[in-house]
Amino acid sequence: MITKNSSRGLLKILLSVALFSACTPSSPDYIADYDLVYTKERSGYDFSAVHTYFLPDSVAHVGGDSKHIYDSTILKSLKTNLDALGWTRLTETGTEKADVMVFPAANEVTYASCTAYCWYCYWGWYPGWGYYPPYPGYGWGYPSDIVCASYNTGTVVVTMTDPNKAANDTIPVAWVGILNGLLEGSQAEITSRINTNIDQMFIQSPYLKQ
Amino acid sequence: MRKIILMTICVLGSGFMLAGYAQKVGEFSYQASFPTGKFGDFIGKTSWVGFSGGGRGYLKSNEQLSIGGSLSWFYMADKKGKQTFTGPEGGVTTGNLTNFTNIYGLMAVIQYDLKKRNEKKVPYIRGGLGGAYQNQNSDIGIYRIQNDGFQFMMNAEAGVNFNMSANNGIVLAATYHYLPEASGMVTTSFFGIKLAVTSFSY
Repeated sequence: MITKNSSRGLLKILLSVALFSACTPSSPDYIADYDLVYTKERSGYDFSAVHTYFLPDSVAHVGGDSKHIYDSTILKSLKTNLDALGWTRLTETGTEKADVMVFPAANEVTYASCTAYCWYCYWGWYPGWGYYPPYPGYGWGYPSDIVCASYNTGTVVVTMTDPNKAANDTIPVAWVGILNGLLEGSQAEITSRINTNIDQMFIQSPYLKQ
Repeated sequence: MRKIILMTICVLGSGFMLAGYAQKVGEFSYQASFPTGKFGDFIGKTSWVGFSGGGRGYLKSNEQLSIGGSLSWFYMADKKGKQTFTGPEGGVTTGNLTNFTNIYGLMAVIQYDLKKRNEKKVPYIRGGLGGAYQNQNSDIGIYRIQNDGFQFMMNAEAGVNFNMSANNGIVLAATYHYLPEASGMVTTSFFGIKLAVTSFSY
């Protein structure tokens, strides 16, 4: 039989559970699940008027000391997708001006954090122990268990500008595609993910092909 | 802040009132929840994590009417997988999307038993009003978007109390919770099937 006191106990347990419980879903299973692709076009821009493009032969790297491992993958994937739109790549040595210029840029960031698990670090000096060194007010100098983790993220930003509409020292951006994800896994895996996600930039921008 | 104070007064007030009652009942329940409406778009899957507990006191003037308070916790999650969606400013995003929320509710409740308390099966109807703290999260890529805050919480419930003895019973009920839009969170509403144990004291 549940008595009045046991009901109170039950309520206390429930209160404790409620106060300290907060669930979160399990983490994604694969590194590729962290990939993110974002695209946005300039409202009203007429992409049907675009027939030629200029793509540099290098990727600009912002910050860090990147080894440019994936530059060729990024450039090749962009060229494949831009050609598939029916556009023609022009070179900088040619005389014809390109309708749009496509600039790829990459950025790599390492995130690191450390957490100390040290429940006994909160113990301090007990005043009843008198004035023996190290005196009241001092805490113990225990070493704590420190757990550290770090991960690399990579971002590729593809900016499509229209130099023919430049005005007031500003070249308007007609379209931007951003790929962000973890730079973890083998080189082959990362290469595959870069290709898949640059393809995705164009899949979710159907207005480019007109 | 005014909303939080109002919610607290509402629930604590009902708790203090319990002291004046001859017959009291405690309840602990488990609930499976089914999101509906806009909230069903945010979390489309059935939630299997929901607990609540509380106490009520029967009025001396009406032995079928009881008033009390309840505390509840619901966790709901939906791993939506790879999604492509257009943002409010027109940008298109593709990524692996997971939405989840934790809801902590505190309500004053009023229950009317449709039969006398000493019957073997006692159907009842219940209403609840109070507040809740909720944090709605959307994980996409390596980013998390969180909206959280306090909301009003309303509850309607109909069920049957199966009395196992003079002091103990089991409750099977259908419930509905509603939390209006607040602090950037979508309007939250969900049906539930609830199984509870009750204990009476005299």
